[in-house]
Amino acid sequence: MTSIDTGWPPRGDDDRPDVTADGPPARRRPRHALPEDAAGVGGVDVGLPEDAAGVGGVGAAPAEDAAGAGGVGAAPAEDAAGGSPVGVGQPDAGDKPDGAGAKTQAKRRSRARTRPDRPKWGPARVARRIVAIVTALALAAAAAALGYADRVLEFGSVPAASPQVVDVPPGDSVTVCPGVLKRPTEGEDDVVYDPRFDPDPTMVEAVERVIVEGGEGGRVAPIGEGSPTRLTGPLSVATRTVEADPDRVEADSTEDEPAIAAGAVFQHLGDGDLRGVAASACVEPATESWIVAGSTEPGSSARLVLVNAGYTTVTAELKLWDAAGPVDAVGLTGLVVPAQSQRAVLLEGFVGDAVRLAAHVTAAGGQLAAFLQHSRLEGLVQGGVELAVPGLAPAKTVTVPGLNVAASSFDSARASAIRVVNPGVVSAAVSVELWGPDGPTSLPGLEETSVGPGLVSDLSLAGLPEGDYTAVISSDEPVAAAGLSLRGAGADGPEEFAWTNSTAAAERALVALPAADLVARLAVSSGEAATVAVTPIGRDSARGLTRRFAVSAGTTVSLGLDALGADAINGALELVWDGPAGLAALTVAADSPDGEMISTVVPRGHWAAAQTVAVYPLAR
Amino acid sequence: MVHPLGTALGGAEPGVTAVVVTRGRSLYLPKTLVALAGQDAPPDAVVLVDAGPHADPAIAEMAMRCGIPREKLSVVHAVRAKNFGQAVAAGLSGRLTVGPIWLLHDDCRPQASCLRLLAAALELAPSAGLVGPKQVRADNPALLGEVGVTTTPLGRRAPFGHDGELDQGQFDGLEDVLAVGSAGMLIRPEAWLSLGGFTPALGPFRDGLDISRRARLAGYRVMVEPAARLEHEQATYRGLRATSTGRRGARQARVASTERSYRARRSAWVFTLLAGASMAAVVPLAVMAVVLGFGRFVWRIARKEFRLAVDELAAPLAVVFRPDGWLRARHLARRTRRAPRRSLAPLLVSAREARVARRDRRVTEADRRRRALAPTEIEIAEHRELGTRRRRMATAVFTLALVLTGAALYRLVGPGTVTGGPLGPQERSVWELLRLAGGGWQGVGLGEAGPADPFSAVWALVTALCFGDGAAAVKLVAIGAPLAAAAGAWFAAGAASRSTWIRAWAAICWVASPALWTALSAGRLGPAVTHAALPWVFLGVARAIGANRLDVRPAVFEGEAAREAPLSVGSTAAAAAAGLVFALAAAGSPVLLPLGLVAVLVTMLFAGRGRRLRLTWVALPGLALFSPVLWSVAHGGAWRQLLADPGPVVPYEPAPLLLRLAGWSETPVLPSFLDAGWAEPLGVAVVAGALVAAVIALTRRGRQARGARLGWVAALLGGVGVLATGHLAVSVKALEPSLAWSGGSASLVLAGLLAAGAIGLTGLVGEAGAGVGARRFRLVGASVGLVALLAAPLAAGVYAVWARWNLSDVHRVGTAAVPPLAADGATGPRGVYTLVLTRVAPGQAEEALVWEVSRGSGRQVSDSLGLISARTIDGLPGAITAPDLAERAMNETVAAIWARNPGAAALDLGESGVGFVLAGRDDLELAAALDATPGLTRATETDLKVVWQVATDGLEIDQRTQDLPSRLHVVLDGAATALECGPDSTISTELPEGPPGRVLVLAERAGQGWRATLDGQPLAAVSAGQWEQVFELPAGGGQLRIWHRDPWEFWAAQALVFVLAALVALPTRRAARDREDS
Repeated sequence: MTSIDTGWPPRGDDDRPDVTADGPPARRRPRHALPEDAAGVGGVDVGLPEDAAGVGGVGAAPAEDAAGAGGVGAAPAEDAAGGSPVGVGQPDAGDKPDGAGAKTQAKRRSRARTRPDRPKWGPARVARRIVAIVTALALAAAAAALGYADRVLEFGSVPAASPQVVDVPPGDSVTVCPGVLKRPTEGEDDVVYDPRFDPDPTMVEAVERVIVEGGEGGRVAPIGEGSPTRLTGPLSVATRTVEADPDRVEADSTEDEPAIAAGAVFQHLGDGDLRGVAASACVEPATESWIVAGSTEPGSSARLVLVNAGYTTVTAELKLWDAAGPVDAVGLTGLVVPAQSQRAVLLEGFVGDAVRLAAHVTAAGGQLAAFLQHSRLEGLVQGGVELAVPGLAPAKTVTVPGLNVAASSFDSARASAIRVVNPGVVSAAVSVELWGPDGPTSLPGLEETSVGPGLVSDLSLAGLPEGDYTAVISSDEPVAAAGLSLRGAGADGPEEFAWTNSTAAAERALVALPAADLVARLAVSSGEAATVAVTPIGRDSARGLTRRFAVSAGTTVSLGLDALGADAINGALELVWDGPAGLAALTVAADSPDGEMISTVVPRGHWAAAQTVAVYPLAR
Repeated sequence: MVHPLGTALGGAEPGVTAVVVTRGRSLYLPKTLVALAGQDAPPDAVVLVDAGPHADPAIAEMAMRCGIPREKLSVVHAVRAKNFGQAVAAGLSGRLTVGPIWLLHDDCRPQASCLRLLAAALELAPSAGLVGPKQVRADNPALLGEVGVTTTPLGRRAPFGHDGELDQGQFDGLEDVLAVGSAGMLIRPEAWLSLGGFTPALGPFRDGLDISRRARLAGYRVMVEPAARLEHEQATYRGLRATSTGRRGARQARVASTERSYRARRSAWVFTLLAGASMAAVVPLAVMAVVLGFGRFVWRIARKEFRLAVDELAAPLAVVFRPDGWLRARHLARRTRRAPRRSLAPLLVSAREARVARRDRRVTEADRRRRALAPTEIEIAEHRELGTRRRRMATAVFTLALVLTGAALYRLVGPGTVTGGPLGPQERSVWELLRLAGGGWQGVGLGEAGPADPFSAVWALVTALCFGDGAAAVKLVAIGAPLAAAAGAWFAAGAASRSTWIRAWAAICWVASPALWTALSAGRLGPAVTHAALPWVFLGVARAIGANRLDVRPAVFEGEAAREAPLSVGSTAAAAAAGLVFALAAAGSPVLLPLGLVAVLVTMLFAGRGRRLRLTWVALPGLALFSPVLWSVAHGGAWRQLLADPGPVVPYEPAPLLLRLAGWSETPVLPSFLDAGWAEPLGVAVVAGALVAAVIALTRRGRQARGARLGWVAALLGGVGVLATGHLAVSVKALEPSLAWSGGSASLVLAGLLAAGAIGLTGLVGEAGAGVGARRFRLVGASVGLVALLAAPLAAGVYAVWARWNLSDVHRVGTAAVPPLAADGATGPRGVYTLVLTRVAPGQAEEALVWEVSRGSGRQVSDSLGLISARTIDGLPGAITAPDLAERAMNETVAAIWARNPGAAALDLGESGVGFVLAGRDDLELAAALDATPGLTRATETDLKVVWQVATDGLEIDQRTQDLPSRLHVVLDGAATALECGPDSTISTELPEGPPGRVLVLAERAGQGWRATLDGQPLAAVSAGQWEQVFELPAGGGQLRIWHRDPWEFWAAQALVFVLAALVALPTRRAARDREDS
C-alpha cells in the first residue's frame, strides 16, 4: 500500500496516462481490498473525508479520498519522477500539498490505530449524536413546516374567472300563417265523390291578417315561390287572402327595439264537409311542437301540416298519443320537409279509431310550424272543422284560456272538454280549476283526477254554465293540455267545435281581428286582480283609443268588440297588462241557421328580445 | 565546402556550431548546458538562443557556470522568435557557419559521445544532409524516445514509433530514415543554407520532420545515428512547461500531460499535411482535416476528453483558415525541391501497416488489462454465487411488476386509441413533435405562438421508437412506465445497498407506489414517466459521484472480516446519462426541474472534490429541454408555464397533504366495505415502511449517513414540490383554475425516502450485532424488515386492483373524437377547424355556452394545452386574464347563434376557419339554434354528436358573401374567397390574379412571427383590430408562401446539448491516451 503514501490519486487508475511499459500498473490496488487503515477500524467507519472532518474528524478517512484530496497535484511529479533528478525539482506547486497530505494522513492513521474499537462517550461521539439529533429535529421541523404551510398559506389561490356576458340585440321575429283548409281526401286520385253530395266547401271568407310591430317593419311572403310584401314599421297591419301556400311573416328588430310578427288566418266555410269556422293564429316555427287536439274516429280526420319556412331541409319526428297510450307506428320518424315547403300528414294513416289524439313534433335540421286540421263528419252531417296550433310543452301547470262553453247538462255525452296528455311514464294526478265569469269554480270530476302514463284524457266540462272560461290545469307530473269548445252537440243539426291551445301569461300581446262577417269576442283572465289596456289597431295601421278593463282574480271577462271600441275597420287588438300578466283568447263565431260556428285564436305575446348570453372557451 | 575526410577522422570536429534554444532560464537548461560542455568532441561555438519573453541578462553567466567556455559562447536574445525554427534562425543570422550546425533544445541532454558520433556519421555519408541521434527518455534512459521518424502517407506518425520501448538495440541498424527530430539534429551547413532553415511558421512540433522531408526532396539523405544517444525530456510534448507563473502556473504544472501539447501537435500535423501535399491535394486535404476534426471531436467527447475534443476541432480550423503560414511553407519547399514527392514513398509506412501495428498494440494493451484485472478463482466463485442470487431476486421482482402491470393495464393492449383524462390520439409526426419541442407555432385552438411543453420531445422520442405510430406510443408509455420503474428501482437500490432483499423491498415499494398508479389511472403519462425515470436519475447521480456501492466480498480467510469494495471514482458518463433521464423526468413533471436543480446543487456540496463539476451534466439536458419555456418566462411570459403539466388540462381535486406526500394526488377510492375515514391512514401506511427505514438511516453514521442525508434532502425537496403543487394553479379549464399534479413531487419524496431507507437498512443487523444490545437491534431490524417487506407487496396488490377499478376513464376506443367528415375537412386543402359547442347548466341561472376550437381529428395528447393555458394566469396570487380578441370574437359569434339572432354568424365562422360545428345530440335547444342559423346545415350525426357544416356559398348577409370556410382566404369588399392552405403552419399556395385593395386573412391568431411572401416579395402585415393574421396584397397573383418564424436557436441548442450529452453518456473506457501519436 505504498501508493497511499505517495499520494497517487487512486481515481487516476483509469485516467492516468499509462506511460510505463512494464506490465500491469504497479499502483493499482487489488480489487475489493481496502487500505489497511480503513480495515483497521473494522470497515465500519468509512466516512468520506469531509464527513469525517465535519463531524469531528474521528472517522478514519479512507485512503481513497484523503489521497484524492491531498494528491491532486502529484500527477505530474509522478510522471516525471521516474528516476530523473530533474523531475523531482520541477513544479513546486505540486509537491507541497502532496507532502502535507501525506503527513496529515499519517497523523490520522495513527489516531485511527490507537483508537479503541468503540470509544465510550467521547466528545466526538457526543458531537456526532448532537448532530444526529439536530438533523432529526430539523427534519421534523421541516415536515411540520410543510404541514403548517399547507394549512395556513394561501399563496397560490386563483379565483375562477367568469364567462363573458354577451349582449345580443333582439333578433327577427318570424311567424308562419297556414294555408287554406283542405278536405282530408283532397289530392287523392282514387277517391270518387258522389256528385249528389258535393263535399266541396263553400268558402264564405278566408282572410289572413298579419301585424308587424316594433323594429323597422318586416315582410310577408308565401313560402316557396312568391315575392315578399314589404311591411313598413313601426306598426303595420296587412290583410291578405288565404292561399294554398302558407305565408312567412318576418319582423325585423332594431338594436334597441324588439319586434313582433303576429297574425291569424280566419276561414269561414258555410257548407260542405268542412262546414265551420276555423281561426288559427300564425305560429312561430319551433324545434318542438305540442299539439293536443284531434281524433281519428270514423268520420274524423286529423291532418297535420308541417311548414318549413326556413332555408334548410328539416327532418321531423312525430310522437302520437291516443286514449290507449303512445302510438307505435311505422313512418313516424324521418318525415322530411324540404326548405320552404309544407308537408301534410294524415294521422289516421298511423292510428285509426283514435278517440283522443295528442301529437309532439320534433324537428331536426331546422324548425317547423305545425298545424293540425281537425274535421269531423257524423255520417252525412258535418261535425265541424278547426285548425289547431301548438300549445305549451308539458309542464306541471298549464293554462288554457278562451274556453267557450255552451250550456249542457251534467249527463251530456258530448260536451266541451279539456284534453290532457301525460307523456311521462308515471301517472299524473291532475286537478283543474276554472276561472269563470264569476270567479274560480270547478266541477266535481275535475278536482281530483288522474291521467295514466302515456294516456290522453278528455275531462268533460258537461254541466258547466255557459260562458267563457280559463282552465288552469295543475299536475304533479308534466302534462300538456288544450281546450275543446263544442257547439250543437246533442241536436240533430251539424256540430262545430273549437280547439284552444294552452298558453302562458304575457304582459303584452297582439291578436288579429277577423273580417266583418265574423263575430269576435275577447276573453281576458288573470289569476290575480289586474287591469288590461286594450287598443284597437286599424287596418290602416293606426292605433285607436285605449280602453282599460279591470279583471278580478280568477275571473274571465268577456269583452265584445263594441266594448273595446273596435269595429269593422279594425284589424288587430293590442293588449297590455298592468300589474300581473294575464291571459287572453279571441273567440270568433259565425251564426248560421244550423247553429253557431266558433273558433278561438290565442294572442301572440312573444316579442323578439335582447338577450344576454354567457359564453366562454373551454380551454383557458 | 565539404571538409576533408581526414579532418573528420581526427576526432575534434572543427566548425560545429551548437545552437541551444531556450525560453529563459528553464528548469532543464543547466543540465543541457552541462551535457553540452561535457562533450568529448566539444563544438567550436555555442550559440545560446534565449527566446524568452524578456531578455535575461543572467543567462550567459549561467551558461558559463555550466562549463561553456566564454570564448565559444555567444548568447542571442530572440525575443520575437515564435518557435524553435525562428529562434535558430535568429541565433545563426549574421554568423558565417562553415561547419555543421548542431541543434539542441533546452531539455535534451546529449551523452558525451553524441556530437562526435553524429559528426562522424555526417562525414562518412557525404550525401547526408542531416543526421539525428537516438533519443532516449530523460526520466528513464533505458527507454527509447525516438530513433528517427516515419509517417504514413497522410502524415500520421507511424504508431510503432519507439516511444516507451525498452532500448535493446533493436533499432541500432537503422540508418536512412524519413526524418529525425529537431532535438540533437546535426545539419550540414550547405543543406541548412539551401533549405533556408526551418519553415518559419511551424513549431514546436514537426519542425524536424518538415526540414528532414524537405532535405530529402532536395536530394539529401536523412540519417539517424543510433550510437549517438540523447536524453530528451520532451517537456513541451508532455506539457511540463508552465506557460504562466504563480498559482496559475502551478495549477498548469499539476495537470501536466501530453494533452496540453495536443492542439499544437494537431495543428502541426495539419500544417505539414497542407504544406507538403501536391497542389491538387491541398483542398481535399484541408476539407478532410476539418471533417476529420469533427469526427474526432465526437469521438473525444464520447471518451470524456473535453479539452482534447476542443483541440480536435480548433486545430484544423485554425490552420486551414490561416493559410499564410503554410502557403509560405509551400513556396519555400517548392524552391528547394529537386526530387518528386513519390521518391519518399519507400520511407513511408503504408496505411495498412500502420493499421496492423495499431491493432497489435490494442490487442497487447487489452491483454495486459485483462491480466491485471483477472479475478482469482475464489473471486470468480463468489461473483457467480452473488450473481445467481441477484438474478433470482431480480426475476422475482420483475415478475411481480409484470403481474401488477398486466392486472391493471391489460385493457390497453390491442388496436385503437387510448383515451380518457388527458389521453387522446397522437397523430403528429416525429418531426412535427421535434419542431414543436423547440418552440414555435402551436396549432391548437385558434393558434398560439410560444413554447411547447417539453413533453413533446418525449412524444417525439417514443413515437419514433414506435415507427411513427402515435397510438402505440401512448400505449408504450403507459405500459412501459411501471416496468421501467421496477427495473430502475432495482438497479438504483443496488447503488444504495448490495443486499438483494433490500433491493427487492425498494423496487416493490417503488413499482407499487400510488404516485405511479394514480397517475396511470388518471391517464396522466407525464408523472408516470417521471416515476419511471427517477430511479435511473438517482442511480446515475450516485455513479457520477462514485457513491454507488459495489459488491461486498465475503470473508475468504479465517479471521478476515467481510469487506466492502471501495467507493468508485465516479463517472462523467453516468452524470450525462443521469442528465438525459432527468430531462425526461422533468418533462413529465415540470415542477421537478427547479427541485432537481436544487438537489443537484446540494449534491455538489456533498460530493467529493473533483466530482462536482461533472454534476453540471445532470442539469444541462433538462435546462436545454426547458430552454424555450425558460426563455419565454425570462421575457415576461407567465412563470406558471414552467410548472404546467404536459398535455391537455384535466382539473382534479387534490387529496389532503399527507396523502399527497404519500403519492395519492387524488384521494384513494376505497373498497365499499371501508368507510372514507380509512383513506388517510391506509394511504399513508403504504409508505410507512420507507419512512421508518429512512428515519433509521438518520441514525447511521459515516458513509451511510451522507447518502441518507442526501436522500432526505431529495425527500424534503419533493415535499416542497407536493406542497407547492397543491396550491399553485398552473392552468385553466372552463374558467376554473387547475392545480399542478403533485404525483411527480411525491415520486421524489418516495425516491428520497427509499434511497435513505435502503442505505439505512444496509448492514443494520450486522452492525448492531457487533455492539452492545445486539439482540435488541436485531429484533428491531428484523421486525422493521418484516413489516416493510410484507406491507409493500400487500399494498401493491391493493393498488393494482384499485387502479383497475379506477382506470375506468382510460379506455381504448376505436373511433375518433371528431367525426371523420370534420377530420377530413381539417386535413383537407382548406384546413378548417371544428367548433365544439356545449351548454352547461341548461335552464339555470348560470347557464353558459362553452366552445372549443379543435383541429384535425380532435385534441391530441401531445397538444401543449397545459402550457398554453398557464399563460392565462397572471401574477401572484394570480388572476385569470380576460379573453383576448380572438376569444371575444368567437364568444360573440357563439352568443349570437344561441340567442337566435345569428345575423352573419355563419360568415364569421367561415372567416374564422371554422368548417364544422359540433353539438351534443341531446341538447335540442342548442341544436335548434344551430339549425336556425343561416349558413349552417346539418351534415351528419354520430352517436353523441350532431355535425353542422358551415356552408356559406351563395349566402349574402349585410352585403357580405364568401366562398368559405377556409383557414386562408382573400377578402375584397366584403367578399371572401378561399385559398388552399392545408392544416400546417407553413403554407405554399397559388394566389389568383386580382385587383389592388385585397387583404389576405389567415385564420390564426395574429403574431409577430408570421411572415408571408408573394413571389418572394414580403407582404406587409396589417393589424386591423381583428384577431386573425392579415397581410396586405398587391394587385396580381403569384406564388404565395406563408410561414411562422420558429426560433430555430432552441432547436439547435437542444439538439447540440442532447447529442453531446448522449455522446458523453456512452460508456467508453479511457485508454492510455498518451500513446496516441500525432
